[in-house]
Amino acid sequence: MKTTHFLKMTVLVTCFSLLLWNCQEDVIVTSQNKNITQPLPKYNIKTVSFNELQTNTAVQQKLKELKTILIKNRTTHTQKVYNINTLNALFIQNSQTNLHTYTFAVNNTENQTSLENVVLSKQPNGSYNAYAITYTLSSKERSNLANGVPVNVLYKTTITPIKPEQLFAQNRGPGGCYKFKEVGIEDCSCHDTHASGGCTHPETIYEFVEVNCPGGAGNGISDGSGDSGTSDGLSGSGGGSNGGSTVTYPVDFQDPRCPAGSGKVLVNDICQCTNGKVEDSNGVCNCPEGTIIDPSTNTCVEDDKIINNLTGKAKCVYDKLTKSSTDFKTMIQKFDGDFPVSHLKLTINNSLDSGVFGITLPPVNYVTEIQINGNGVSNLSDLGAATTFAHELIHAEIFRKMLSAAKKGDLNYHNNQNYTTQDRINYVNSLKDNFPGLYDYYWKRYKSTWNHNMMATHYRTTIADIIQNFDNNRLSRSTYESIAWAGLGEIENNQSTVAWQNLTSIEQQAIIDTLNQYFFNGTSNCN
Amino acid sequence: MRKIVLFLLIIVKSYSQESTSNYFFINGQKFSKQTKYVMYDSKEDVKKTTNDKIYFFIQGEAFEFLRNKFRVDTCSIRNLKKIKIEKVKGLSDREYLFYKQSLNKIKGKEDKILGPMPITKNHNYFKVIIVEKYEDKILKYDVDWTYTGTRGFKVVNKKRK
Repeated sequence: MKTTHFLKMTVLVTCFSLLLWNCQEDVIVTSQNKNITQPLPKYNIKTVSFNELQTNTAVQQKLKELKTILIKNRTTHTQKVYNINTLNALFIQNSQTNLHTYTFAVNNTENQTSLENVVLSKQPNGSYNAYAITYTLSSKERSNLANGVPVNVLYKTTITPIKPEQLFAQNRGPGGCYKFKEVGIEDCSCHDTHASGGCTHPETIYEFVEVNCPGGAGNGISDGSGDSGTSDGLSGSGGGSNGGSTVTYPVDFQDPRCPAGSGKVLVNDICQCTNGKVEDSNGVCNCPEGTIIDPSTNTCVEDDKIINNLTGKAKCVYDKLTKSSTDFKTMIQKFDGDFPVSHLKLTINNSLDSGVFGITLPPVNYVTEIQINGNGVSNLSDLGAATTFAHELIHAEIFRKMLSAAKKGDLNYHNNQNYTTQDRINYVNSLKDNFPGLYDYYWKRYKSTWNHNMMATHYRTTIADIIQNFDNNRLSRSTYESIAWAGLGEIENNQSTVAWQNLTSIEQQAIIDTLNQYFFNGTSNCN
Repeated sequence: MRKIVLFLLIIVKSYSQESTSNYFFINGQKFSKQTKYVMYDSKEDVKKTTNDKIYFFIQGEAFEFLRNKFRVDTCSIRNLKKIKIEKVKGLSDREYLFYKQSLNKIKGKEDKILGPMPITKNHNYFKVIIVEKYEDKILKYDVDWTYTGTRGFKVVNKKRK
């Protein structure tokens, strides 16, 4: 009875996780150019009963082995004991490699804060390797699950080999979220030979597709996905989840049928590189030049943490800024590197209101997008366009700090699919401890204009530094300081910042004059 | 088992669609959005049309009508009498007040974190409908109320006083 209940819970977790992806699909962030050459493999998924499992002697053998190991471990108390529910298992098959996994629920009575599965991963020699999948959930999340409230289990997952020496598992950097998407029905995929009339139980075919992360991509999560170039000779397609589709991209380990260390996988009897990798001069699969491995998918993606879709004058000024201004470059570099808190995306949006030259969108799935009004900046001086970038980059920097405090991919802390109560508490405390100024403006004394108010008081010097470098000290320091007021004086709906209100009308007019002279008019070499 | 999964997915799908338009969630608790009607005046305000969107810029606020997401209602102009048109000025402040009132209704001490508005792309707590007069009719556009109007880098080109 208990096991049946647990299995139901397992299915619920799966379905509700799919829900999270369902409602997020139309929201921002595309993953263009992620898969460079090869399509993702397709999967067959089905639930198999104990009776069916009984016919698979290799699985039975592994389960017996496991039992032996676990009983042995129980006596020494050195490792966790997994009480596997073998009444049912979830079967996931990679149709490309024909390797598959069985996912078993674990009746966990020792640790009430986690749900667990055991995954058996088939090896090309017919044997199985075993991995423990653990979802760490708060008591509230468990209670939510029991009450049918959606809980995002993504990135609360760790994969541990039951025999640790057998698995190469590595911590993962920021990555995407995936769901199984039904792509069709395939008849006769279940047997090699059929009775007359063909296979009577067609399989639904799935493929893993990247979707926007309800929970954001995780940092430092061990998902057990081995890099095929560094594996230890294991193979198999794994993954699995608490029921099947919620956890990791399927594990594709090195295929021992191919040359050791090559990273190749046997597909249609030919050892070949997969996931966009190409064979180098040493016969090893690596990502082609200009691409890097995306650890979440084990595929090659473009080596750009800063996605630059700028064109025209905006692009020209941005390129010049990155070359001329150390401050600008330093700030930009915070969004670069292998595992930044946030990626930066620069795009053109000519549909912004007139007089709005740029906007920084809130981060979604760790990506903060700066949109530049291409038509708008084309009518500004180069200095005006550079000020636009400096201003927006500071918005992005503020969001980056907030993301680092939240340790999440977005800042919608009321979205309980992404934030647990404890996450919210941690977020506030981290803001308070690490960014007291930000905490003060955003949290403690919140006003809808908090962002520009904070920038007007604390960031004008930074903006002035950036544009002064950009302009090669052509003008006086006070001129750059005046230009830095752009967008920080009179702002939203005829409101103005506190710092602006503290200026005399003479000072305000002098700044307006400077903006007219150098922001809207003036030198324009970038066109 | 597969039927159960399918059934759950159907429930889940409709649940998620509903949640994007008429409701908002704070820490998992569901609240109804307040509906606000905003008048578009073609003489004062700006409307930009693209293949997939219509942008309304009204007194500094920005609204987006997505053709594949929303619909336009056409009604008799008599219907205008039944609609309470909101002033755009102060709409954000009223939304913040409504948000705070909603926070106070949250059940469970643990979840009651009285914080600022979370940072999102769109305003989440009011459902805005733009009303446009057209001959003897009115057009009602369901829209997303975005922050691009107020959060952007806006610099007004002012001439010397």
